[in-house]
Amino acid sequence: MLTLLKKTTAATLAFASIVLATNPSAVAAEGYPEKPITWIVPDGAGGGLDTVVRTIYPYIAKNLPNDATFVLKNLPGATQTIAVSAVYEAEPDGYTIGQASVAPLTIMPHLGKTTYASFEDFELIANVFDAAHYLVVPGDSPFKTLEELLAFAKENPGKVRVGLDGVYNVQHLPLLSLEKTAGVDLNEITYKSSAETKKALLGGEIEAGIVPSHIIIAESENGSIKPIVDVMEVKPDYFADIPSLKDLGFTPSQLFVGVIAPKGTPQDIQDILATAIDAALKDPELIDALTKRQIMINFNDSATYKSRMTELDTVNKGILTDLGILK
Amino acid sequence: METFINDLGNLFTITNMLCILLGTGVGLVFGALPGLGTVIAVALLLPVTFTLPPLAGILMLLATYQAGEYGGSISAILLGVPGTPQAAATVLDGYPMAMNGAPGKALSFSLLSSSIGGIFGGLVLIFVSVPLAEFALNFGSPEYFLLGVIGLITVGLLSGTDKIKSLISIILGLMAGTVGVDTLTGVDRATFGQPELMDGINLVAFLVGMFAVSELFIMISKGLNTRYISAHTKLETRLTKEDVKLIAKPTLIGSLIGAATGILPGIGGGASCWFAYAAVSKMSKHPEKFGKGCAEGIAAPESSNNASAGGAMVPFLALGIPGSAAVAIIMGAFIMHGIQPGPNVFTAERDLVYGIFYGFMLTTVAMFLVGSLVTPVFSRVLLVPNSFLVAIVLVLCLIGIYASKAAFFDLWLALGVGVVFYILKRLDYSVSSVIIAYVLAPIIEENFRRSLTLSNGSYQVFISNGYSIALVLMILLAAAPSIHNAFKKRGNQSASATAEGRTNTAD
Repeated sequence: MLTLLKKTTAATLAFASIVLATNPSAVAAEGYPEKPITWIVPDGAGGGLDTVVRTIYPYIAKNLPNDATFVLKNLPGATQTIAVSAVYEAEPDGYTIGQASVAPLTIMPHLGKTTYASFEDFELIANVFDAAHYLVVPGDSPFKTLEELLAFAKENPGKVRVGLDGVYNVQHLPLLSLEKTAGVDLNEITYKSSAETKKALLGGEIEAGIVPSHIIIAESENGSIKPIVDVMEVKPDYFADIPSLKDLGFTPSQLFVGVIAPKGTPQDIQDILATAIDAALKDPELIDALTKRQIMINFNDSATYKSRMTELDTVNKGILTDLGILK
Repeated sequence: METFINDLGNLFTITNMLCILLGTGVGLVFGALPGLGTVIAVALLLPVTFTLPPLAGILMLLATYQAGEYGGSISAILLGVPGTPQAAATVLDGYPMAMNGAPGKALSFSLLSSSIGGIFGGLVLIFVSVPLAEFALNFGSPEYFLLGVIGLITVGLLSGTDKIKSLISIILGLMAGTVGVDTLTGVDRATFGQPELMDGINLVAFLVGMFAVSELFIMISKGLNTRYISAHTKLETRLTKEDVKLIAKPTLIGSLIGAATGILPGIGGGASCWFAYAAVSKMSKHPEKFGKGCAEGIAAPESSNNASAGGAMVPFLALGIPGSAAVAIIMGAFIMHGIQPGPNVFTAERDLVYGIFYGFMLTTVAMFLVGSLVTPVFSRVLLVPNSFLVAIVLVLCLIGIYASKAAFFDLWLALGVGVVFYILKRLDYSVSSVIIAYVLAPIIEENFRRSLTLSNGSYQVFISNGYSIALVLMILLAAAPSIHNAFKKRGNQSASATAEGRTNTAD
């Protein structure tokens, strides 16, 4: 009897706390937004991600109630963690949201370089777009497929040099994982940007490289650079017939960029934002503008966004644990 | 011929002309404001281009880029604070010339050499972009490393007579250049847990601190009620024939060096102006005049930074690899219009490419014309008494630093750097050595380590082809006189030391 009473009390208290927790937010959502929403962009003005956000935000504002407006705040640097930390520290009142790629959420926390512990310290509102990165070789390379490259690398450890645009990032981790699974030793060469990797590929300094798909469209048409495998999961139309790591039986990585908010942002405000993002990404005008720029729109609702993030986080955590650098 | 006339017809439209003028105006102002600089100006105008036809938009950005390169020299000359990192070397002679009572002339030297540099860069772009871009591809990591070393040695030779002090300055600069996450291993270096330091010391905050904040302390200590120039007659901006002759050679050398460094992605205009300054002061018949307000010292860096703008477009148009940060943003304008930069752009977008070629020349002309109009106005700045000037400069600097990254941390950083450099300047340390070592440190270090990773540890990579061997020879040539002198000195010293030793034993 006492147990029953205890249980009922607990249930009532739990229910009450849910009501108490949700009630003010219902009030918060009414009339939302009353003031401009700050959108933190993890990129400098004029950078790649910045221009994407600048293209998208008017369409999202159009689909929000109460003549919503956005104020964009550029906080570049430190692999997007400065911007993501700013979101983490902001009031969860729905007036601060942020844009984030996967590295600051599923890699940097494991390296012990962030104030937040993981992606679970945020509300994941919706995914906006995906990107594909390809393992590529110069046009005159003897390797036509990934199998050929791996077979050669197995015979010649350290001889195949692969250019990357940084360490412990979305290009480096999948490559390390591939090396481990295939049992090969590649020589990773780090450059400062994908443009530098591309220059090194064309100049014959390296045998292969990982670069974003959209910077080698023209080169793949004239044959000076050949993509051989998609490192990420989603493929762009123009490289549809190139296999992905997943097609070949390896663990793929993922690169997707979405909208996040501080933990505790009222659920109905999250829903309002997600609905507006969804509607904006269906606007033919925006689709046209993004397609022109080779951006692969991929709307995921909060649940899908979260499950993809969880999956990737597990993969990245596994790779970093294997390497013995997990903090 | 017919296509040429056709090209010109496409170019001389009212939209294009207005866009070029707008870009020039924005570039001049942003270039002149310390801290804001060309990259921010181009980024700011980027969204405007989305609604414009591709050629008009791209020409607007190019005009901004060009005018910003000149604009940086305005504050460098008048205030001793470089408006852009690419104008840092201009301070060395521009500021003293303005202080000596010829601010108008100093600005005219800068404008003329900037314009010639711009035209030179444009000609390089039109006539030799494809072969030069292929040449740039042969310049790999080992060659970048060697180039950086040449820069460091020329700086070592550049600065004053006190070798020890300039060596300390270089080491300070190199240390500042290593702050941040190590690109090759991902390890934090000297960041003290500050995320703002993970990408290194912010160049804008560093420059403003070392030039502006420290200069403000000096201004204050000199007395606030002084005025640099009291008579309006000293604002003369006209150049005589002799003046033009004087800067002909340094302008040509500066243009060559600027275009060459622009073509190499990753070197950056911040280094190119120092290369030009060092080369011209070394080749000059009267090197002792440099640093005291000589025209050649303005012409060399100013022609080089504008020539590097044209140079930076070369690998971009020919290969789709932007040669500088500003060009990387201009690439955004291409992509926004659905144009894929890369090897096919010459055939697929012929009209656009040729429009850019000829339009690039027009942007230089616009810069010259607008610059000639505003130069007399700007030169009046020094009529303002110090008490006002100090306040205005400080506010402008604070805005500029904050605007560059929106981080308050950078303001404190600039203040700290300013205090350190006030002390260093008072003790006669070479500020220019610190800044060039800082700019070159990542180029030297990263490329050195990358080269050795590429070669699996073999040092032969640094003499593996014609280019690297030529660069090694240049290093030896540049270093030979100093090494010779050092040995001579040591020989003398050890001789006297032994002599002393002998007398000691005799005692």
